[in-house]
Amino acid sequence: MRKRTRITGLLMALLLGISTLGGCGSKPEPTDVSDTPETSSTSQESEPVQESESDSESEPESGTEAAGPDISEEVTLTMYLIGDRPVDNDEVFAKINEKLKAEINATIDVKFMSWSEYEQKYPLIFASGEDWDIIYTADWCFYNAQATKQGFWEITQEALDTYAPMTAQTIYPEAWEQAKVNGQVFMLPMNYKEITSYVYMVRGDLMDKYEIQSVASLDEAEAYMDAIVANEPTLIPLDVGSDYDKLFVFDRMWEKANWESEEKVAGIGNWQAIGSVSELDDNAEVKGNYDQAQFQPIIERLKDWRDRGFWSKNAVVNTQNNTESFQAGKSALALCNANTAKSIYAQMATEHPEWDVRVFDAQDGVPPVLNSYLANGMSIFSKSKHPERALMALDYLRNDAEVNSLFCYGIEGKHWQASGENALVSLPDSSNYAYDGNCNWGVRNDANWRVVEGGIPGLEELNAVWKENARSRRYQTFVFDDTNVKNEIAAMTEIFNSDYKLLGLGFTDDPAGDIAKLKDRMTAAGADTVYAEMQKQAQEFLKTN
Amino acid sequence: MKKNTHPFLSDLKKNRTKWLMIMPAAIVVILMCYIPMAGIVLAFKEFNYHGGIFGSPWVGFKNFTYFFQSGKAWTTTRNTILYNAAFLCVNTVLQITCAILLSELAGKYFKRITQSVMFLPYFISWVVVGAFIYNMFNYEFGAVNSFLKSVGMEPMDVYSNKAAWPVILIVVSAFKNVGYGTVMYLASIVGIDGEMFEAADLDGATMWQKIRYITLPCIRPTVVILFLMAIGTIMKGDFQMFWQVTGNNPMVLDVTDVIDTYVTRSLLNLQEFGMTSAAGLYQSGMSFVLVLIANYAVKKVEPDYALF
Repeated sequence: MRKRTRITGLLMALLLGISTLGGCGSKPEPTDVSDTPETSSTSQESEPVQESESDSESEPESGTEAAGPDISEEVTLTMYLIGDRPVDNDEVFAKINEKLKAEINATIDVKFMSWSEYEQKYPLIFASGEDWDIIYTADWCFYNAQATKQGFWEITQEALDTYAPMTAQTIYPEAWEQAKVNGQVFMLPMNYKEITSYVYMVRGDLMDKYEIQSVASLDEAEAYMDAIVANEPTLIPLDVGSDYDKLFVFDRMWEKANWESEEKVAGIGNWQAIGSVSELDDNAEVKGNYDQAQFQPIIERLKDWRDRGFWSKNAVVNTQNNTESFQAGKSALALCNANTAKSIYAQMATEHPEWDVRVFDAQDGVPPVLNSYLANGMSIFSKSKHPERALMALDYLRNDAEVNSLFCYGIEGKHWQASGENALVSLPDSSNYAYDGNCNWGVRNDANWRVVEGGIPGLEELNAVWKENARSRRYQTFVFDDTNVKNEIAAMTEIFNSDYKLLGLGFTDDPAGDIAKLKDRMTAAGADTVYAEMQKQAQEFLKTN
Repeated sequence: MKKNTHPFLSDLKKNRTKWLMIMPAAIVVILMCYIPMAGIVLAFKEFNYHGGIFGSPWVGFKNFTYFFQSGKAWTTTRNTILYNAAFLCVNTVLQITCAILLSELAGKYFKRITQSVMFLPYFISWVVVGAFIYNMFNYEFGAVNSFLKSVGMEPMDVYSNKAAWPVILIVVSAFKNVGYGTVMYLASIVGIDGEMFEAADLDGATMWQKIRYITLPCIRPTVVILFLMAIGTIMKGDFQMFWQVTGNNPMVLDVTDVIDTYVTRSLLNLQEFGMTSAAGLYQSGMSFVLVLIANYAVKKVEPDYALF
């Protein structure tokens, strides 16, 4: 009897211990556990097998059926885009699907993840075991991270020739080269030459009220926001602070200071590692941003702006980005890139003509960046059940004039009207499907591109100036391989997301002290090792480029 | 009678009702705790989507270094333990007090209504509580600051004030959990033999004396068991609460970051499944050690009440 109690006691102990273990340890795991059966079955086929599988599939089939890929089975492809579902999205995709069904016997089902949560949701859908096929990606949107974790299906030259013949012919060779990660391509980059430039969107009615002539530089923005703080207590001047735009204001100031610095400082490597380098230095010495002379004055200015109430005291817990707030009438100024401005301008002008929204250049003398092609692209999920068909669908989305225009601008006659070969006029219904606004950027194609006519007043002139000044940065196509310093990068990312982003919003009472603290913590996390590794790789990069 | 049947099988036959009764619990534990435990291997692997949990390459203890390198291991462990200890003490005291007060109340309807009202917050989602907090404390339009401004006082900047958060968290934890615990203690008070109170009345005991010498000693086993159970979770922050109520606010992370929120946040920011599992495993290991210590301590003092 006594013995048995002891055994039950032990059993209890075991159970309790284990339930706590299981209970605590499983926080990050549920997502993984759910796909255990699937992964264990796929785990046997290691990567090389997978590759040869896709090859073998193309070859024997082309042998038996000379007409091309087998499309007898009807499939529905799931495509993930970033943003909110446009009102007329389903209508537009019904038309796209009509054509795709006829051509390749496939239809596309679109799912969206919003801008406020994409940083978190994006990596999770790869691990969730969910069945999907195509996703938007970019160099700033997890392309490298997911490619090295084998999240994407490799697009080989053979696959491209077999399943995406139109793309194979039209894709810019340099775009194809840029997309390579360790020699393999996982993305179809946009076929479009793009520059990124920032603009302010301003409430014209308030400008007139407070006699502000222009908001085209940081100083002018400062004056405008001062007027708002003094006179419009119900408005937040610039409602930044969400995951998406925590560093927007910092970036403007930082870019300007770097451009005006003698050394021509520029960022390098993973942005979470906050490394920067002088573009004139052939030795490529990488320093932490906190070690650059211009860093502290900027943080001091940001602190001053925050203290004056230019953004909310709760900005760090903001879940809405600054353009959303601006559209909702909660703030008086928005800072965004020119494309975002283009896609929301028409809608705002119809919904709130009384606001008299005006758009100004926010580059403040800094030449805009000539984007790499990887700034937008589309990829296929490595566990997609129909990767070949997904590639065929992408081929049509990119190259077929009709499908491409549907995706990029909506339905002709409803959302837009052609104006010559290379331009279009937005129709009133475009508020339900904005021009170039449905995360279609990954399939943009210069061959089918139309600029919008009668969009934002003055934007064309700005565009001309930007295009003339645009430049590629020296380290733009440099890809940092972090294999050797994974742990350091992880620890630094944590600090980047808390301490650095706080400084970037001016949340500090003692800029010098907090910058020193940031430096200490970054150093403790292994920043110096990372920067040394970056420098080494940058030197290699300079040799070959 | 055959003697050669296995003792376990004969026990299974003899106590089949009891075995049947324990079965659902056992199944749940096996499904939810034992099987997922295999995922622990992830802490020693470099995860990729293709290999999944079991096919990815091993990396030994490399994943553990980042947790300590980022300097967060100590802060998060400290916060987790201190917060849970505070919740445990504050909530237990409040729960017992409320239970005794309720049991002494005479009006039946009043008692029932009070009990239900106290229980209600338990069903409110943390997301909603987080929204309450935001709407009360946000700087520009929060209820508290609007009130302060209307009476001509300076508004408070709660979201960047580190000192405010421990208090807020302890208060909301009590708000949500006191009702639930009260019911448990109330049940154990109701279970006390009424004759003891009658005898005490005859001897002229005051209400305080009855509480001190009858009620409290009688509910002691319940207190100890609930306390021990809570020790088991002391390394486990109430994730929802810390995540939602603080809004994952980087300003006050030093005082609000617990292991669970840290693990989740770094999973979302880094997408390094191996490293975050390593942090999770560290938490589980610490938790296990704490349970053993607590149980050992109880056994020293009150051998009858120890869990095992």
